[in-house]
Amino acid sequence: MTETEALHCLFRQLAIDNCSESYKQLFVRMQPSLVRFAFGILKSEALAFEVVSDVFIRIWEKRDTLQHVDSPRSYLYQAVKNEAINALHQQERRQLHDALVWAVPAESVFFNPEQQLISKETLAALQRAVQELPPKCRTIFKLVKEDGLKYREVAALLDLSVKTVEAQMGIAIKRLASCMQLQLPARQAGAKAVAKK
Amino acid sequence: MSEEQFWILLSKKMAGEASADELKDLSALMQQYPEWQYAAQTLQEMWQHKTPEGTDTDGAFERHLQRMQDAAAPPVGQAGTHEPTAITIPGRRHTAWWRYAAVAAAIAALVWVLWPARSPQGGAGGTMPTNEITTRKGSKSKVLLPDGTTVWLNAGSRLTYADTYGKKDRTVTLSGEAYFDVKHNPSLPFELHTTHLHITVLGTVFNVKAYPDESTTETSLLKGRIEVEVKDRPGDKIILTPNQKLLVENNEAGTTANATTKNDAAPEPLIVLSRLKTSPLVGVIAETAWLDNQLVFNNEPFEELALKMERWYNVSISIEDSSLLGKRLTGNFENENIDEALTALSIAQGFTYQRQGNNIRIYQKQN
Repeated sequence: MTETEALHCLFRQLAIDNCSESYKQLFVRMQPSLVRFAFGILKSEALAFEVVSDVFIRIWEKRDTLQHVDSPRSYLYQAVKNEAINALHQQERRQLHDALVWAVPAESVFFNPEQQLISKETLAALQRAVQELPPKCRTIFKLVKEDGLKYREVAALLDLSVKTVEAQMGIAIKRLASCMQLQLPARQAGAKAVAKK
Repeated sequence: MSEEQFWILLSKKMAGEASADELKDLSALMQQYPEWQYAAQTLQEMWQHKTPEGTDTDGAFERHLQRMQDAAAPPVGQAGTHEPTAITIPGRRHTAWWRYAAVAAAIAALVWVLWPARSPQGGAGGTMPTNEITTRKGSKSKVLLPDGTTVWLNAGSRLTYADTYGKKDRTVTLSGEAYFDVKHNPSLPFELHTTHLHITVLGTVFNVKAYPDESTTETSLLKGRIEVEVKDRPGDKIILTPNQKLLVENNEAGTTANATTKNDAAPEPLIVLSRLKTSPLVGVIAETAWLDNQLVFNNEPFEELALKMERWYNVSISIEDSSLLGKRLTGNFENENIDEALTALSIAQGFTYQRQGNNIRIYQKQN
């Protein structure tokens, strides 16, 4: 069962069977990445936790309507976004936060350290590259890679066009790939030397 | 087709967004750019691995349930007789949750009771437990204080306040840079302490830059009115009005000189009052541009800019040519990463740099 199917299943169980265990599972699965997403908007861990908790409270209250949700993942992210923006409004910081780019923490993007093909240095370079992505680019990359959102879901969530998401993903991937190009000049030089002979 | 297209298609493939046609285009491009094959393959393998989640989601869930219960707060005595409120979860295995929640609440209460006793000065009526918020280099944070005052903390800064904040006092200590939007409350003035300054306000918007490794402390007022007292000159209060900036030199030697001379004309470049200026390049006030993720520098010595960049990008920069130190630079960085920023500067200033990880060496171009 894919992650998306699992979420659909949990939403259905919650809606039809009124199942509290599904509620807990949904929370455990989704809360950490939703909190990171909210943190990107709010820049406060405590607030991010509260906002996500509020969304989950609302989910429980409206559980009987959940079976009609097309994409549970998208639904949750959109709800967290709205709630987070409301929280910002309450703080009367409108002019300020508009200009501030949402930036999810860079540590939340993961590369497998057991990966045998890459060295420690390359791994460090990759982490640095993620950290140095422009905030918006990093947010998009994180939502696609770590959170498994579809391009059109990310576009809707961040009020961007799908084309922009495509382009930003291309930029992110290119920057990451550049970290692994170090071996290349040697190989190319080798190839040329062979050709000369 | 362009190289850019190659990366767009590769990321689409990894994200499962590519159509059959696009996959075909991609493998054609792969032939065209054999040098990217290794990177592309490795990235595709790594794509599968997701961030492992911490083990504390259960704890988070208990906290969430606690909030849920608090939010509902059903009238006492009705629990058994009425249909449970929306918040009581009539699930199949709900008993365990409430037991956990009760235990968690009990532990929380216990910790709360024990806390003052464990604090060394607690009994002596000394300092109350303090809250500390710190930001690492390369990151910023927004803090909402208990009274509704909002603080944006710039990179490499520390803000502390006592548990009594908002009740008995509104006192905070700052090391580094922060932007304050203080909730108006005439009966409880907001007080800010840095190593060299003491600021009192009623309700206002201002920015303070007091990094220990910088030679000056800067206070910029955007709205309202604040009263600044330089710690070395008690009783001497300076009132700032909007769009004014106060620059105080953190020089210890200067203060002794000041104490001995009562002459007004004493040579003390200790305190400078000036107006906030809009940066000609970007049309924002340079002092608060960091809030908009912009690093703005206006006729600034390279040495000081390097210090700012160290905090901004979390790197360490050493300028190994003294002739570069005093060079004055004007400009701004917004979305540039450290390499792009350094490249731009090196072209403009004609220096070369070497970067190894987070360490950057800057030296004059060899001719």
